[in-house]
Amino acid sequence: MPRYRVQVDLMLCQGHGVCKEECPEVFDVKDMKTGYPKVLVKERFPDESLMEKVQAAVDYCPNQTIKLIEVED
Amino acid sequence: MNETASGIPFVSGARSAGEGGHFEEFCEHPANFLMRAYRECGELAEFDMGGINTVLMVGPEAHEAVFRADDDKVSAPEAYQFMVPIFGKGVQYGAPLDIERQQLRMHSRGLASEKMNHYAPIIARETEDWIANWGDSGEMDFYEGFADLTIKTSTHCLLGAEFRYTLTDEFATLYHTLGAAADAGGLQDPNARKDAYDARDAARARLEELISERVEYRKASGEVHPDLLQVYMDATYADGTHLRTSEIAGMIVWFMFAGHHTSANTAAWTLVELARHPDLATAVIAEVDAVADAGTQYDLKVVRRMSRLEGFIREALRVHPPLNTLTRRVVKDFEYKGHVIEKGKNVMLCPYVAHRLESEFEHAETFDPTRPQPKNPFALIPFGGGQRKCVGNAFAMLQVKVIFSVLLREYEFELAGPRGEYAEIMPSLILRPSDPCILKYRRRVRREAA
Repeated sequence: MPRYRVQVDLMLCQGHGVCKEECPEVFDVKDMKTGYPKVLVKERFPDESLMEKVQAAVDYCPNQTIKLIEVED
Repeated sequence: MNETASGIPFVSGARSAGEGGHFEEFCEHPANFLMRAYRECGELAEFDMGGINTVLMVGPEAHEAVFRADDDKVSAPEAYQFMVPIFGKGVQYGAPLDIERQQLRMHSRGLASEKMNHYAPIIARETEDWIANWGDSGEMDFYEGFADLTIKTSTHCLLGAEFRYTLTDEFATLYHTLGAAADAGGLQDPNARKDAYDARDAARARLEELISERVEYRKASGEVHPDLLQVYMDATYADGTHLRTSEIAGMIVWFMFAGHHTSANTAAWTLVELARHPDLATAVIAEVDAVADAGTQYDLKVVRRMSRLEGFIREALRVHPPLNTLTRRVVKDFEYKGHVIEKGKNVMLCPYVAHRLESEFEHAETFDPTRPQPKNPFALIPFGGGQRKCVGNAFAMLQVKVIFSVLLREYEFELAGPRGEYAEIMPSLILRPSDPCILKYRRRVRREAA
Protein backbone atom coordinates (compact mmCIF):
# COMPACT_ATOMS: atom_id res chain seq x y z
CA MET A 1 0.00 0.00 0.00
CA PRO A 2 1.34 3.45 -0.87
CA ARG A 3 1.64 5.94 1.96
CA TYR A 4 0.69 9.56 1.68
CA ARG A 5 1.94 12.82 3.05
CA VAL A 6 -0.51 15.67 3.59
CA GLN A 7 0.61 18.93 2.03
CA VAL A 8 -1.20 22.25 2.42
CA ASP A 9 -0.78 25.56 0.64
CA LEU A 10 -1.37 28.01 3.48
CA MET A 11 -1.71 30.94 1.11
CA LEU A 12 -4.91 29.39 -0.25
CA CYS A 13 -6.41 28.58 3.15
CA GLN A 14 -9.19 30.80 4.52
CA GLY A 15 -9.99 28.63 7.50
CA HIS A 16 -13.41 27.43 6.34
CA GLY A 17 -12.90 24.37 8.54
CA VAL A 18 -14.29 21.77 6.16
CA CYS A 19 -11.21 19.58 6.63
CA LYS A 20 -11.58 19.60 10.38
CA GLU A 21 -15.23 18.67 10.07
CA GLU A 22 -14.45 15.80 7.72
CA CYS A 23 -11.38 14.47 9.51
CA PRO A 24 -10.67 15.97 12.94
CA GLU A 25 -8.04 13.29 13.57
CA VAL A 26 -5.74 14.89 11.00
CA PHE A 27 -6.84 18.52 10.65
CA ASP A 28 -7.39 21.38 13.03
CA VAL A 29 -8.04 25.04 12.34
CA LYS A 30 -5.91 27.51 14.17
CA ASP A 31 -7.04 31.05 14.87
CA MET A 32 -4.50 33.63 13.79
CA LYS A 33 -4.41 37.04 15.45
CA THR A 34 -4.75 38.72 12.11
CA GLY A 35 -6.09 37.41 8.84
CA TYR A 36 -7.81 34.13 8.24
CA PRO A 37 -7.67 31.15 10.55
CA LYS A 38 -5.40 28.50 9.03
CA VAL A 39 -5.41 24.74 8.74
CA LEU A 40 -3.08 22.90 11.08
CA VAL A 41 -2.03 19.43 9.99
CA LYS A 42 -1.75 17.30 13.11
CA GLU A 43 -0.74 14.14 11.27
CA ARG A 44 1.49 14.59 8.22
CA PHE A 45 1.40 10.87 7.49
CA PRO A 46 -2.16 9.76 8.32
CA ASP A 47 -2.87 6.17 9.13
CA GLU A 48 -4.30 4.08 6.32
CA SER A 49 -7.55 3.68 8.23
CA LEU A 50 -8.13 7.44 7.97
CA MET A 51 -7.48 7.81 4.28
CA GLU A 52 -11.13 7.87 3.26
CA LYS A 53 -11.82 10.78 5.60
CA VAL A 54 -8.64 12.57 4.56
CA GLN A 55 -9.67 12.21 0.92
CA ALA A 56 -13.06 13.78 1.76
CA ALA A 57 -11.22 16.72 3.33
CA VAL A 58 -9.15 17.09 0.15
CA ASP A 59 -12.21 16.84 -2.12
CA TYR A 60 -14.47 19.21 -0.22
CA CYS A 61 -11.99 21.96 0.66
CA PRO A 62 -13.54 25.04 -0.99
CA ASN A 63 -10.10 26.37 -1.86
CA GLN A 64 -8.27 23.24 -3.04
CA THR A 65 -5.77 23.86 -0.28
CA ILE A 66 -4.86 20.25 0.55
CA LYS A 67 -2.89 17.78 -1.52
CA LEU A 68 -1.89 14.17 -0.91
CA ILE A 69 1.62 13.32 -2.03
CA GLU A 70 2.53 9.67 -2.43
CA VAL A 71 5.74 8.82 -0.56
CA GLU A 72 8.20 5.96 -0.82
CA ASP A 73 8.29 3.67 2.18
CA MET B 1 0.45 44.56 -33.75
CA ASN B 2 1.61 47.45 -31.57
CA GLU B 3 3.67 46.73 -28.53
CA THR B 4 4.36 48.72 -25.41
CA ALA B 5 7.91 49.44 -24.23
CA SER B 6 7.81 46.33 -22.06
CA GLY B 7 7.00 44.20 -25.12
CA ILE B 8 3.36 43.60 -24.23
CA PRO B 9 0.96 43.72 -27.21
CA PHE B 10 -1.36 46.75 -27.21
CA VAL B 11 -5.02 46.13 -28.07
CA SER B 12 -6.17 47.72 -31.34
CA GLY B 13 -9.00 50.22 -31.70
CA ALA B 14 -7.99 52.69 -28.99
CA ARG B 15 -9.29 56.21 -29.30
CA SER B 16 -7.01 59.10 -28.56
CA ALA B 17 -6.03 59.64 -24.94
CA GLY B 18 -8.42 62.63 -24.70
CA GLU B 19 -11.28 60.38 -25.79
CA GLY B 20 -10.61 57.73 -23.17
CA GLY B 21 -8.62 55.12 -25.10
CA HIS B 22 -10.53 51.83 -24.84
CA PHE B 23 -12.72 52.99 -21.98
CA GLU B 24 -15.96 53.28 -23.92
CA GLU B 25 -15.64 49.90 -25.60
CA PHE B 26 -14.71 48.35 -22.25
CA CYS B 27 -17.80 49.79 -20.54
CA GLU B 28 -20.15 48.55 -23.25
CA HIS B 29 -19.44 44.96 -22.24
CA PRO B 30 -16.25 44.36 -20.24
CA ALA B 31 -16.26 40.58 -20.78
CA ASN B 32 -16.62 40.90 -24.56
CA PHE B 33 -13.93 43.55 -24.73
CA LEU B 34 -11.49 41.48 -22.67
CA MET B 35 -12.26 38.41 -24.80
CA ARG B 36 -11.40 40.43 -27.91
CA ALA B 37 -8.21 41.67 -26.23
CA TYR B 38 -7.16 38.12 -25.41
CA ARG B 39 -7.95 36.77 -28.89
CA GLU B 40 -5.93 39.54 -30.46
CA CYS B 41 -2.96 39.67 -28.08
CA GLY B 42 -2.78 36.42 -26.09
CA GLU B 43 -1.68 35.88 -22.50
CA LEU B 44 -0.81 39.55 -21.92
CA ALA B 45 -2.80 42.38 -23.49
CA GLU B 46 -2.42 46.03 -22.64
CA PHE B 47 -5.15 48.62 -23.11
CA ASP B 48 -6.01 52.16 -22.08
CA MET B 49 -8.75 52.48 -19.45
CA GLY B 50 -9.21 56.18 -19.91
CA GLY B 51 -5.78 57.16 -18.71
CA ILE B 52 -4.87 54.08 -16.70
CA ASN B 53 -2.94 51.59 -18.75
CA THR B 54 -4.16 48.14 -17.84
CA VAL B 55 -2.66 44.74 -18.58
CA LEU B 56 -5.04 41.82 -18.94
CA MET B 57 -3.28 38.64 -17.74
CA VAL B 58 -4.73 35.31 -18.86
CA GLY B 59 -4.16 31.71 -17.80
CA PRO B 60 -3.54 29.84 -14.54
CA GLU B 61 0.15 30.71 -14.47
CA ALA B 62 -0.52 34.43 -14.85
CA HIS B 63 -3.39 34.30 -12.34
CA GLU B 64 -1.17 32.58 -9.81
CA ALA B 65 1.55 35.20 -10.23
CA VAL B 66 -0.96 37.94 -9.39
CA PHE B 67 -2.73 36.05 -6.60
CA ARG B 68 0.56 35.20 -4.91
CA ALA B 69 1.95 38.71 -5.14
CA ASP B 70 1.75 40.78 -1.97
CA ASP B 71 -0.40 43.87 -1.67
CA ASP B 72 2.72 46.04 -1.49
CA LYS B 73 3.48 44.92 -5.04
CA VAL B 74 0.08 44.67 -6.74
CA SER B 75 -2.54 46.27 -4.57
CA ALA B 76 -6.28 45.59 -4.50
CA PRO B 77 -7.02 48.49 -2.14
CA GLU B 78 -5.31 50.95 -4.49
CA ALA B 79 -7.36 49.71 -7.44
CA TYR B 80 -10.67 49.67 -5.59
CA GLN B 81 -10.63 53.00 -3.77
CA PHE B 82 -13.90 53.84 -5.56
CA MET B 83 -15.61 51.28 -3.33
CA VAL B 84 -14.62 53.11 -0.13
CA PRO B 85 -17.60 55.52 -0.14
CA ILE B 86 -19.90 52.50 -0.55
CA PHE B 87 -18.57 50.31 2.25
CA GLY B 88 -17.54 53.28 4.33
CA LYS B 89 -14.29 54.61 5.72
CA GLY B 90 -12.61 52.33 8.21
CA VAL B 91 -13.58 49.03 6.60
CA GLN B 92 -12.10 46.92 3.82
CA TYR B 93 -10.24 49.06 1.28
CA GLY B 94 -10.94 52.11 3.43
CA ALA B 95 -8.90 50.65 6.30
CA PRO B 96 -5.17 49.97 6.67
CA LEU B 97 -4.18 46.52 5.43
CA ASP B 98 -3.69 45.11 8.89
CA ILE B 99 -7.17 46.22 9.99
CA GLU B 100 -8.71 44.84 6.80
CA ARG B 101 -7.10 41.47 7.52
CA GLN B 102 -8.61 41.45 10.99
CA GLN B 103 -11.99 42.31 9.52
CA LEU B 104 -11.71 39.43 7.06
CA ARG B 105 -11.05 37.19 10.02
CA MET B 106 -14.33 38.42 11.53
CA HIS B 107 -16.24 37.65 8.31
CA SER B 108 -14.63 34.24 8.26
CA ARG B 109 -15.82 33.59 11.84
CA GLY B 110 -19.35 34.34 10.74
CA LEU B 111 -19.03 31.90 7.87
CA ALA B 112 -17.47 28.99 9.74
CA SER B 113 -19.11 25.57 9.48
CA GLU B 114 -21.23 25.77 12.63
CA LYS B 115 -22.63 29.11 11.48
CA MET B 116 -23.37 27.81 8.02
CA ASN B 117 -25.36 24.98 9.54
CA HIS B 118 -27.55 27.65 11.08
CA TYR B 119 -27.95 29.56 7.78
CA ALA B 120 -28.87 26.57 5.62
CA PRO B 121 -32.36 26.00 7.13
CA ILE B 122 -33.01 29.77 6.97
CA ILE B 123 -32.31 29.75 3.25
CA ALA B 124 -34.53 26.68 2.80
CA ARG B 125 -37.38 28.34 4.69
CA GLU B 126 -37.10 31.57 2.69
CA THR B 127 -37.23 29.58 -0.54
CA GLU B 128 -40.26 27.62 0.69
CA ASP B 129 -42.01 30.89 1.54
CA TRP B 130 -41.15 32.25 -1.88
CA ILE B 131 -42.76 29.37 -3.75
CA ALA B 132 -45.70 28.98 -1.35
CA ASN B 133 -48.11 30.91 -3.57
CA TRP B 134 -46.82 29.97 -6.98
CA GLY B 135 -49.70 27.59 -7.69
CA ASP B 136 -49.45 24.67 -10.09
CA SER B 137 -47.94 26.55 -12.99
CA GLY B 138 -47.05 29.98 -14.27
CA GLU B 139 -44.18 32.08 -15.47
CA MET B 140 -42.05 34.78 -13.94
CA ASP B 141 -38.92 36.88 -14.32
CA PHE B 142 -36.30 34.92 -12.46
CA TYR B 143 -33.61 37.56 -12.61
CA GLU B 144 -35.82 39.74 -10.45
CA GLY B 145 -37.15 36.77 -8.55
CA PHE B 146 -33.74 35.61 -7.40
CA ALA B 147 -32.58 39.17 -6.63
CA ASP B 148 -35.62 39.49 -4.38
CA LEU B 149 -35.15 36.09 -2.74
CA THR B 150 -31.46 36.60 -2.04
CA ILE B 151 -31.97 40.01 -0.45
CA LYS B 152 -34.30 38.20 1.96
CA THR B 153 -31.94 35.30 2.59
CA SER B 154 -28.93 37.56 3.07
CA THR B 155 -30.65 40.02 5.40
CA HIS B 156 -32.12 37.08 7.32
CA CYS B 157 -28.74 35.38 7.79
CA LEU B 158 -26.98 38.69 8.41
CA LEU B 159 -29.32 40.69 10.54
CA GLY B 160 -31.68 38.12 11.97
CA ALA B 161 -35.35 37.25 11.65
CA GLU B 162 -36.65 40.43 13.17
CA PHE B 163 -34.90 42.75 10.75
CA ARG B 164 -35.76 40.49 7.85
CA TYR B 165 -39.49 40.47 8.61
CA THR B 166 -39.61 44.20 9.06
CA LEU B 167 -37.60 44.64 5.87
CA THR B 168 -38.87 47.75 4.18
CA ASP B 169 -38.80 48.94 0.61
CA GLU B 170 -36.59 51.71 1.93
CA PHE B 171 -33.78 49.29 2.68
CA ALA B 172 -33.98 47.75 -0.80
CA THR B 173 -34.08 51.18 -2.45
CA LEU B 174 -31.09 52.49 -0.50
CA TYR B 175 -29.17 49.39 -1.30
CA HIS B 176 -30.07 49.71 -4.98
CA THR B 177 -28.86 53.33 -5.01
CA LEU B 178 -25.50 52.22 -3.64
CA GLY B 179 -25.26 49.56 -6.34
CA ALA B 180 -26.00 52.06 -9.10
CA ALA B 181 -22.88 54.00 -8.12
CA ALA B 182 -20.56 50.98 -8.36
CA ASP B 183 -19.80 50.54 -12.02
CA ALA B 184 -16.85 50.66 -14.37
CA GLY B 185 -16.85 54.47 -14.20
CA GLY B 186 -15.25 54.11 -10.80
CA LEU B 187 -12.28 52.31 -12.27
CA GLN B 188 -11.50 55.42 -14.23
CA ASP B 189 -12.30 58.64 -12.41
CA PRO B 190 -13.93 58.52 -8.99
CA ASN B 191 -15.06 62.14 -9.25
CA ALA B 192 -16.63 62.00 -12.69
CA ARG B 193 -20.18 61.15 -11.76
CA LYS B 194 -21.21 63.61 -9.15
CA ASP B 195 -25.00 63.07 -9.11
CA ALA B 196 -24.85 59.32 -8.73
CA TYR B 197 -22.21 59.76 -6.06
CA ASP B 198 -24.22 62.32 -4.08
CA ALA B 199 -27.18 59.90 -4.10
CA ARG B 200 -24.81 57.14 -3.04
CA ASP B 201 -23.50 59.09 -0.08
CA ALA B 202 -27.00 59.94 1.12
CA ALA B 203 -28.07 56.30 0.79
CA ARG B 204 -24.97 55.09 2.62
CA ALA B 205 -25.63 57.47 5.51
CA ARG B 206 -29.27 56.40 5.85
CA LEU B 207 -28.35 52.69 5.68
CA GLU B 208 -25.92 53.25 8.49
CA GLU B 209 -28.72 54.82 10.54
CA LEU B 210 -30.98 51.82 9.97
CA ILE B 211 -28.27 49.35 10.89
CA SER B 212 -27.18 51.39 13.91
CA GLU B 213 -30.76 51.36 15.20
CA ARG B 214 -30.65 47.59 14.99
CA VAL B 215 -27.32 47.39 16.82
CA GLU B 216 -28.44 49.75 19.58
CA TYR B 217 -31.72 47.88 19.96
CA ARG B 218 -29.91 44.61 20.36
CA LYS B 219 -27.38 46.03 22.78
CA ALA B 220 -30.21 47.42 24.91
CA SER B 221 -32.20 44.18 24.86
CA GLY B 222 -29.20 42.11 25.90
CA GLU B 223 -30.37 39.38 23.51
CA VAL B 224 -27.88 37.18 21.74
CA HIS B 225 -28.72 35.97 18.22
CA PRO B 226 -27.07 33.39 15.98
CA ASP B 227 -26.60 35.78 13.04
CA LEU B 228 -23.71 37.67 11.47
CA LEU B 229 -24.66 40.90 13.19
CA GLN B 230 -23.96 39.17 16.48
CA VAL B 231 -20.62 37.93 15.17
CA TYR B 232 -19.65 41.49 14.23
CA MET B 233 -20.89 42.86 17.57
CA ASP B 234 -18.92 40.29 19.54
CA ALA B 235 -15.76 40.37 17.40
CA THR B 236 -12.64 42.05 18.68
CA TYR B 237 -9.54 43.38 17.00
CA ALA B 238 -6.16 42.06 18.09
CA ASP B 239 -5.91 44.89 20.64
CA GLY B 240 -9.19 43.83 22.25
CA THR B 241 -11.36 46.68 20.96
CA HIS B 242 -14.72 46.08 19.26
CA LEU B 243 -15.92 47.26 15.87
CA ARG B 244 -17.48 50.69 16.03
CA THR B 245 -21.13 50.86 14.95
CA SER B 246 -20.16 52.60 11.70
CA GLU B 247 -17.74 49.76 11.02
CA ILE B 248 -20.45 47.17 11.70
CA ALA B 249 -22.62 48.93 9.14
CA GLY B 250 -19.66 48.80 6.76
CA MET B 251 -19.15 45.09 7.34
CA ILE B 252 -22.81 44.45 6.52
CA VAL B 253 -22.84 46.54 3.37
CA TRP B 254 -19.57 44.87 2.31
CA PHE B 255 -21.00 41.41 2.85
CA MET B 256 -24.25 42.21 1.01
CA PHE B 257 -22.47 43.82 -1.89
CA ALA B 258 -20.13 40.94 -2.36
CA GLY B 259 -22.79 38.29 -2.03
CA HIS B 260 -26.16 39.51 -3.14
CA HIS B 261 -26.28 40.11 -6.91
CA THR B 262 -23.46 37.68 -7.55
CA SER B 263 -25.46 34.87 -5.90
CA ALA B 264 -28.76 35.98 -7.45
CA ASN B 265 -27.26 35.93 -10.94
CA THR B 266 -25.61 32.58 -10.36
CA ALA B 267 -29.00 31.20 -9.37
CA ALA B 268 -30.61 32.75 -12.46
CA TRP B 269 -27.98 31.26 -14.78
CA THR B 270 -28.22 27.89 -13.07
CA LEU B 271 -31.96 27.88 -13.68
CA VAL B 272 -31.59 28.98 -17.30
CA GLU B 273 -29.05 26.20 -17.93
CA LEU B 274 -31.26 23.60 -16.21
CA ALA B 275 -34.10 24.65 -18.51
CA ARG B 276 -31.82 24.65 -21.56
CA HIS B 277 -30.54 21.14 -20.80
CA PRO B 278 -33.38 18.95 -19.53
CA ASP B 279 -31.27 15.86 -20.26
CA LEU B 280 -28.50 17.10 -17.95
CA ALA B 281 -31.00 18.28 -15.34
CA THR B 282 -32.32 14.75 -14.74
CA ALA B 283 -29.33 13.65 -12.65
CA VAL B 284 -29.49 16.84 -10.56
CA ILE B 285 -33.20 16.36 -9.86
CA ALA B 286 -32.60 12.72 -8.88
CA GLU B 287 -29.93 13.84 -6.42
CA VAL B 288 -32.22 16.48 -4.91
CA ASP B 289 -35.00 13.90 -4.55
CA ALA B 290 -32.69 11.41 -2.87
CA VAL B 291 -31.69 13.98 -0.23
CA ALA B 292 -35.30 15.10 0.26
CA ASP B 293 -36.55 11.51 0.55
CA ALA B 294 -33.91 10.74 3.16
CA GLY B 295 -35.52 13.53 5.20
CA THR B 296 -32.23 14.95 6.43
CA GLN B 297 -31.78 18.58 7.38
CA TYR B 298 -29.88 20.67 4.88
CA ASP B 299 -26.65 20.87 6.79
CA LEU B 300 -23.25 21.46 5.33
CA LYS B 301 -22.15 17.87 5.38
CA VAL B 302 -25.19 16.76 3.39
CA VAL B 303 -25.16 19.67 0.96
CA ARG B 304 -21.42 19.30 0.34
CA ARG B 305 -22.04 15.79 -0.95
CA MET B 306 -24.60 16.89 -3.55
CA SER B 307 -21.99 16.60 -6.26
CA ARG B 308 -24.33 16.70 -9.27
CA LEU B 309 -25.94 19.91 -8.16
CA GLU B 310 -22.55 21.35 -7.26
CA GLY B 311 -21.14 20.39 -10.66
CA PHE B 312 -24.07 22.12 -12.34
CA ILE B 313 -23.67 25.34 -10.35
CA ARG B 314 -19.90 25.28 -10.81
CA GLU B 315 -20.38 24.96 -14.56
CA ALA B 316 -22.85 27.88 -14.51
CA LEU B 317 -20.14 29.85 -12.68
CA ARG B 318 -17.56 28.80 -15.24
CA VAL B 319 -19.60 29.84 -18.27
CA HIS B 320 -21.29 32.88 -16.72
CA PRO B 321 -18.98 34.15 -13.96
CA PRO B 322 -20.67 37.10 -12.23
CA LEU B 323 -17.51 39.13 -11.61
CA ASN B 324 -15.26 39.57 -14.58
CA THR B 325 -12.73 42.20 -13.73
CA LEU B 326 -10.40 41.43 -10.87
CA THR B 327 -8.16 44.49 -10.73
CA ARG B 328 -4.93 45.31 -8.92
CA ARG B 329 -2.83 48.48 -9.01
CA VAL B 330 0.85 47.89 -9.63
CA VAL B 331 2.64 49.75 -6.81
CA LYS B 332 6.13 48.32 -7.42
CA ASP B 333 7.26 47.34 -10.90
CA PHE B 334 5.88 43.86 -11.44
CA GLU B 335 7.77 41.38 -13.57
CA TYR B 336 6.11 38.52 -15.35
CA LYS B 337 7.89 36.26 -17.84
CA GLY B 338 10.49 38.88 -18.67
CA HIS B 339 7.97 41.70 -19.08
CA VAL B 340 8.06 44.54 -16.60
CA ILE B 341 4.67 46.04 -15.84
CA GLU B 342 5.44 49.48 -14.52
CA LYS B 343 4.27 51.02 -11.31
CA GLY B 344 1.02 52.98 -11.78
CA LYS B 345 -0.53 50.58 -14.28
CA ASN B 346 -3.33 48.17 -13.44
CA VAL B 347 -3.28 44.43 -13.95
CA MET B 348 -6.60 42.72 -14.57
CA LEU B 349 -7.75 39.11 -14.50
CA CYS B 350 -10.94 38.08 -16.23
CA PRO B 351 -12.73 34.87 -15.20
CA TYR B 352 -14.92 35.04 -18.33
CA VAL B 353 -11.85 34.80 -20.56
CA ALA B 354 -10.01 32.39 -18.26
CA HIS B 355 -12.91 29.96 -18.23
CA ARG B 356 -12.99 29.72 -22.00
CA LEU B 357 -9.39 28.54 -22.40
CA GLU B 358 -9.40 25.31 -24.35
CA SER B 359 -6.09 24.36 -22.69
CA GLU B 360 -7.82 24.21 -19.30
CA PHE B 361 -11.36 23.24 -20.28
CA GLU B 362 -11.80 20.76 -23.06
CA HIS B 363 -14.67 21.79 -25.37
CA ALA B 364 -14.84 24.99 -23.39
CA GLU B 365 -17.89 26.21 -25.33
CA THR B 366 -19.94 23.19 -24.25
CA PHE B 367 -21.98 23.38 -21.05
CA ASP B 368 -20.91 20.21 -19.27
CA PRO B 369 -21.81 19.88 -15.59
CA THR B 370 -19.91 16.58 -15.34
CA ARG B 371 -16.65 18.32 -16.22
CA PRO B 372 -14.04 17.51 -13.55
CA GLN B 373 -12.76 20.39 -11.49
CA PRO B 374 -9.40 21.45 -12.93
CA LYS B 375 -6.39 20.25 -10.93
CA ASN B 376 -4.84 23.70 -10.99
CA PRO B 377 -6.58 25.87 -8.37
CA PHE B 378 -5.87 28.97 -10.46
CA ALA B 379 -7.71 27.83 -13.62
CA LEU B 380 -11.30 28.19 -12.44
CA ILE B 381 -11.53 31.56 -10.70
CA PRO B 382 -15.17 32.68 -10.32
CA PHE B 383 -14.34 33.72 -6.73
CA GLY B 384 -10.84 35.01 -7.49
CA GLY B 385 -7.97 33.31 -5.70
CA GLY B 386 -5.22 33.48 -3.14
CA GLN B 387 -5.56 35.51 0.03
CA ARG B 388 -8.06 37.82 -1.61
CA LYS B 389 -10.34 35.04 -2.79
CA CYS B 390 -13.97 35.74 -1.93
CA VAL B 391 -14.38 34.74 1.72
CA GLY B 392 -18.04 33.98 1.05
CA ASN B 393 -17.37 31.34 -1.60
CA ALA B 394 -18.59 28.41 0.50
CA PHE B 395 -21.59 30.41 1.71
CA ALA B 396 -22.51 31.30 -1.87
CA MET B 397 -22.33 27.68 -2.96
CA LEU B 398 -24.37 26.58 0.06
CA GLN B 399 -26.97 29.23 -0.61
CA VAL B 400 -27.50 28.39 -4.28
CA LYS B 401 -27.52 24.66 -3.53
CA VAL B 402 -30.16 24.99 -0.82
CA ILE B 403 -32.32 27.21 -3.04
CA PHE B 404 -32.24 24.62 -5.82
CA SER B 405 -32.78 21.74 -3.41
CA VAL B 406 -36.12 23.33 -2.53
CA LEU B 407 -37.06 24.54 -6.01
CA LEU B 408 -36.32 21.35 -7.92
CA ARG B 409 -38.13 19.23 -5.39
CA GLU B 410 -41.38 21.03 -6.20
CA TYR B 411 -41.17 22.44 -9.71
CA GLU B 412 -39.85 21.86 -13.18
CA PHE B 413 -38.82 24.70 -15.44
CA GLU B 414 -38.67 25.54 -19.12
CA LEU B 415 -37.54 28.52 -21.14
CA ALA B 416 -40.40 30.84 -22.08
CA GLY B 417 -38.61 33.11 -24.52
CA PRO B 418 -37.12 32.54 -27.97
CA ARG B 419 -33.62 31.18 -28.29
CA GLY B 420 -31.95 34.61 -28.49
CA GLU B 421 -33.07 35.70 -25.06
CA TYR B 422 -31.11 34.94 -21.88
CA ALA B 423 -28.13 36.78 -23.35
CA GLU B 424 -25.12 37.78 -21.24
CA ILE B 425 -25.30 41.50 -20.51
CA MET B 426 -23.12 43.71 -18.33
CA PRO B 427 -24.86 46.97 -17.46
CA SER B 428 -22.55 47.09 -14.45
CA LEU B 429 -19.38 45.17 -13.62
CA ILE B 430 -21.56 42.12 -12.92
CA LEU B 431 -22.56 39.78 -15.73
CA ARG B 432 -26.27 38.93 -15.75
CA PRO B 433 -28.98 37.46 -17.98
CA SER B 434 -30.83 39.96 -20.20
CA ASP B 435 -34.27 41.34 -19.34
CA PRO B 436 -36.70 39.85 -19.00
CA CYS B 437 -35.46 36.47 -17.83
CA ILE B 438 -38.78 34.66 -18.01
CA LEU B 439 -39.13 30.94 -17.37
CA LYS B 440 -42.22 28.78 -17.09
CA TYR B 441 -42.67 26.59 -14.07
CA ARG B 442 -44.95 23.64 -13.48
CA ARG B 443 -45.49 21.65 -10.32
CA ARG B 444 -43.85 18.27 -10.54
CA VAL B 445 -45.83 15.09 -10.42
CA ARG B 446 -43.88 13.43 -7.65
CA ARG B 447 -43.50 9.74 -7.44
CA GLU B 448 -44.47 8.53 -4.00
CA ALA B 449 -41.52 8.51 -1.67
CA ALA B 450 -40.80 4.95 -0.69
